[in-house]
Amino acid sequence: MIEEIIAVFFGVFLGILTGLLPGMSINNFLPIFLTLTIFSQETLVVFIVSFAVSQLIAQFIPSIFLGAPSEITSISVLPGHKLLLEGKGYEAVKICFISCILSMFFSFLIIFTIHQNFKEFYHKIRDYIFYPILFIVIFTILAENGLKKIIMSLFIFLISGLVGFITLNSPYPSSNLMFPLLAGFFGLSTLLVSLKEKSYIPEQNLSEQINIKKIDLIKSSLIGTLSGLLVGFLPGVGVSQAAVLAQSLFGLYDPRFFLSTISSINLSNEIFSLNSLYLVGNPRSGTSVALQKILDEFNFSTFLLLFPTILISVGLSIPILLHISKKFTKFVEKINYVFLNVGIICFLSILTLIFTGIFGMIIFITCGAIGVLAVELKIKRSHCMGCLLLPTLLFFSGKNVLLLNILFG
Amino acid sequence: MNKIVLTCGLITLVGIILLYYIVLKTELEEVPIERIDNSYLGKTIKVTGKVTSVKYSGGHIFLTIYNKSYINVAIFSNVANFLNESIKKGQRITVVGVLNEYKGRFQVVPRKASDIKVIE
Repeated sequence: MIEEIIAVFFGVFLGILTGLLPGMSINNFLPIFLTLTIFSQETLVVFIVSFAVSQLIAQFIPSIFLGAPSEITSISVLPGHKLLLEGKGYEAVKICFISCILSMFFSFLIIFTIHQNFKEFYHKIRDYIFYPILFIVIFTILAENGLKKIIMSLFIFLISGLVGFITLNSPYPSSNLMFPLLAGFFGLSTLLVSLKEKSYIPEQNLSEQINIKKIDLIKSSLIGTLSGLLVGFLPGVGVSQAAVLAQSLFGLYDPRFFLSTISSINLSNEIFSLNSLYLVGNPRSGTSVALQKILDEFNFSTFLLLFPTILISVGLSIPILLHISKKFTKFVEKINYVFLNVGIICFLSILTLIFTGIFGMIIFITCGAIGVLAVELKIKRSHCMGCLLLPTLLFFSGKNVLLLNILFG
Repeated sequence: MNKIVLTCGLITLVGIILLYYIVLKTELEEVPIERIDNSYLGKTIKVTGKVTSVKYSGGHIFLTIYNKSYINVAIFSNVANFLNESIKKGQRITVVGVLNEYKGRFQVVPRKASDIKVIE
């Protein structure tokens, strides 16, 4: 028992440390963790789960303050950075963290309510997911003002989709390539536009008050949790696709609502993925593959072990991260914003080069250019999510093979 | 059209051509069957393993291959009809195909007959 508690503390500490560094995914560390066979299975599982959860929560800080996203927080850069440029970076972080807490409780509630019938539910919903995704894509494109903007949006959606399709069908691991893809679309383009517009970070408000009604926070967090459920189990649907779907379906265009939804999607997706071995019998993420390798059997007692681990990890991470984000706020206020942006662009480029080589670098630059193009054409940058939505639509309609035949023979 | 739009348009075009060319010219690396998870869904992957079961149904061939873990391979009739040799239990084969999910289990679906190679 003491060994497991120490493992949670270590997991949270390392998770926070790596989460604060942009571009560090748990998938980079799992091969190392799997070699730690001197520890018991339970200790290793507890360590990995606490690492995964705290890293996920910590990743919101670089995403909001630096505009440097990770794979899962990419879409939160836009509303997060917007609030930062209004002097409300700390509020943005706080909204994310409160939503994570709400989402954790909603996720526990959902899992305990439906875990016995989950497999049946999952197979039923899976067959129909194509239609809402297609509807949302059409809806978001047609929502632009005027024919010219609609055509431009369709163009950005398709061209992003093409880049996504080629990337995801490349011989390189797609889990690594998601970083340059999404960091290019949402990180690099944000930083370049900020440089061009000579933005600056105003004095930040460190008030503990958040400007969103309790009921709205609960509503957006619940929407996020349910969307996270989709992401956690449906093949081809990622965190960012679910965020765009939820945003369009429920009209969550206010940056605070959107941030709350995205953070809830992230945490609930992680919780559902960690439990996927028990709920649907298949691993749904790199972390759940690691758990499968460690454990002889993912039984009900393992399932029960995960809940206190997640609860303690969230409970420990959030106060520490709130303290860190206050320090971060003071740091970004003092530093020259142009210097900071250039530094982050260099940092993201070096990370991309180290982890994904020249191929990843080409993706990063191309996606950055498409992101800037969307801004210059005065259309929403969320159309760049075509990079994941188009391959998802093709996958569910069975037309991915047709496009593969056309492109690669 | 302003300079930024033109520059970004040009970078995008060159970038897509380069990405396409690299993917076209790069040989697929093999994915260990036990490492396959949700993130590979919809992707073209290459797997190698020993055939542990072969079922024929309506012109389609359904295989299960094993290499530290099991995975299903669905060779549909449009591909199966062009296979040069029949696949037998116990053979070691390499399959290149798109990873799908059928009834909660992963399956590799080759797109053409040359995507299936009998090694021994």
